[in-house]
Amino acid sequence: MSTPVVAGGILIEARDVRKSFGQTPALRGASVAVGRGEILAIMGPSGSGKSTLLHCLAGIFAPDGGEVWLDGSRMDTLDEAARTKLRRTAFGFVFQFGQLVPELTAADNVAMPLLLNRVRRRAAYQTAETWLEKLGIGDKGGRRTGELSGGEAQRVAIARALALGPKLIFADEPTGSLDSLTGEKVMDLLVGLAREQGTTVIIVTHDARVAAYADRVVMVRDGLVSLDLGPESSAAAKHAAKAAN
Amino acid sequence: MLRLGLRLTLRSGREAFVRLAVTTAAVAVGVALLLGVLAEFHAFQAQSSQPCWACTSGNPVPSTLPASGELWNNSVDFYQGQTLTRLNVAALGADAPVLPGISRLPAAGQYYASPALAALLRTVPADELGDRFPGTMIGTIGQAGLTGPGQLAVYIGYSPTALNATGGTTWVTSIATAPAAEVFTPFFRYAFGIGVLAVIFPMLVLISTATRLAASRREERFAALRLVGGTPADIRMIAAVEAAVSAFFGAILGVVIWLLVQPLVAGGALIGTRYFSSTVTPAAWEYAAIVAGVPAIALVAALISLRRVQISPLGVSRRATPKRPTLWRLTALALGVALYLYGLSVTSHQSIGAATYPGLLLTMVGLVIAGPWFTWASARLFGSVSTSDIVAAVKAAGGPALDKRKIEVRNPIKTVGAHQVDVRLHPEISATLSLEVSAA
Repeated sequence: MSTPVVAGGILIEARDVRKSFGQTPALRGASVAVGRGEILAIMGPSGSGKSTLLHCLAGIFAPDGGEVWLDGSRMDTLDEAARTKLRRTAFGFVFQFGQLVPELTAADNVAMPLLLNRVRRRAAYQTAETWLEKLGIGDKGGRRTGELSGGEAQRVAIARALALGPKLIFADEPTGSLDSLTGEKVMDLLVGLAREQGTTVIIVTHDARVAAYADRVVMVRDGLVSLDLGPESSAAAKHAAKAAN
Repeated sequence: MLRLGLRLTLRSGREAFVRLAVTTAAVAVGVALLLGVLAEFHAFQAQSSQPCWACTSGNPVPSTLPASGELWNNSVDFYQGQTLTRLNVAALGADAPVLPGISRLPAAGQYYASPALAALLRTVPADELGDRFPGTMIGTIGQAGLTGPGQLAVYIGYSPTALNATGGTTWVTSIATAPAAEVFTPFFRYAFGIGVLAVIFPMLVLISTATRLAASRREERFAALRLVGGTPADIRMIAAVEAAVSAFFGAILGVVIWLLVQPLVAGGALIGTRYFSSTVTPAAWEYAAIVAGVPAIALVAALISLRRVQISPLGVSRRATPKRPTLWRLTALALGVALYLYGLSVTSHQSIGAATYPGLLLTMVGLVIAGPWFTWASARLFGSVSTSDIVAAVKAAGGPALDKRKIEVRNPIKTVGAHQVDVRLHPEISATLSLEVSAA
């Protein structure tokens, strides 16, 4: 399918990306472009390849074929070390189960990407505290994340994703393990803060209410991006929800 | 990374604590044994290098008694199966050389006994032992004159005339200070070396295994770190810190255990009374080397063992090389054994073949390298398809999730080809499942 023109220029783009696991193809030539500051939702039924597309865009998987471009440079040809560096410096992640280290405190988890980037300890923790405050859990900085509620843990994950000032946040079912009210709060915070920072967000979700936060929705079906719905977010989500069902 | 590794090591809950405690305890036992071997080695060295006064060779006594030196009549006596070294001595002048372990020679009618003999003299009736020594005991022989705390020895003072009248008396002008020629010394040294290796290698294997286990148990944690940009090297360092920490605690605890048992070892409760207690101790630098070296070696062993454990950002931990171990893994072991056997073949009563020691070292290293091949070979010989394998295969083939306890395997499946198992769906209903086992 053709790449849509994206306002503000393209930040990241998948072109005809293919990826198989053993004999099972997950992506059969998926293409999608995401603009700077855009919030994109990727929807699709279970097993459609939407998470695999996200992982290929995030450099977690190297695609078997096709190209991934970030900021005008090929990303799919980078080696594991260079992709790791990208994850460390340019990307933030909010996954379904947070992917936090439960033995470490909320502040430790948020400071982690900064520490991995060799930011000085004190500065890293100050930044972490600031972001925890912004997410309304400033009083939870000293608590181990294993002891936090699901909603609090997701807020820690959002703080961790934003603390480094990334170009791009990848969110895979960010509200998947939360009740709807908490999920809504988490999405409000994620999208609100991302817009404030001008950060691009790619959200994989099967939930139309989550997709409704996006500027644009794409549908993935059988390893292909089958539908790219325009920037009328709520209408797009509605269509996507219908298509998913 | 070190700080993070430390926090994960010390704060990861009960399971991690138990793993840390078990590894620490095992390292502690290893370190205590290592210190014991080193202490024994020191005691052995001290004993081997002890001056041998009994090795003094005297001259025939001139017909006219000289005015210098002393007369010796050295003999061996026995008490209840124990050897008793007896030296009858008579000074011939003021400059007569003094025997080691005493401050002046005994005059006629006096004697010095070793502490062990003195203790016997206090308890055993005089007609059984004390009456053999004429005169009065004026002191005990010090460590310098004895080969060990249990040695029975006596220096008895005589008048020159009386001693000269005894057969076998010699004239001594200087006392030998060289250690006794020990035929077996090099053999014992090798034995101690082997003892050290035999303690260190199992310890390293244990640390490597515990580290790999810990890494796989922390898979999710490490995946989270990989996701936010931690490199495999960062993860390896964090995981290896646990090994170093447990090795460090183990080394300290090992030193403490050793210090607690050292008096028992030195006192002879564990090894007999062959050595003086003050010599049964490792050197200070050996303590320092163990406390610093064991964690450092553990860290390196852990880093090596984690080299092939890959943790992806999504938490899929796997050994990167599931390839079948090749026969090349046996090379070092075969070379080591060959070298060792060659060393043995050229070992004589005088010396050990130079190849023996490196051969033994290479054999130990070779055993570690060959381990995966032996595991693979024995799995091929003795392994079988488990009910869990069957459940996984049914699921992978798109079938329902079965309870592995409901599967009955009539005979263990050890061969490729067609097999049948029963699945008990209900007490009265069972289905037969056909399997095709193929070689991986």
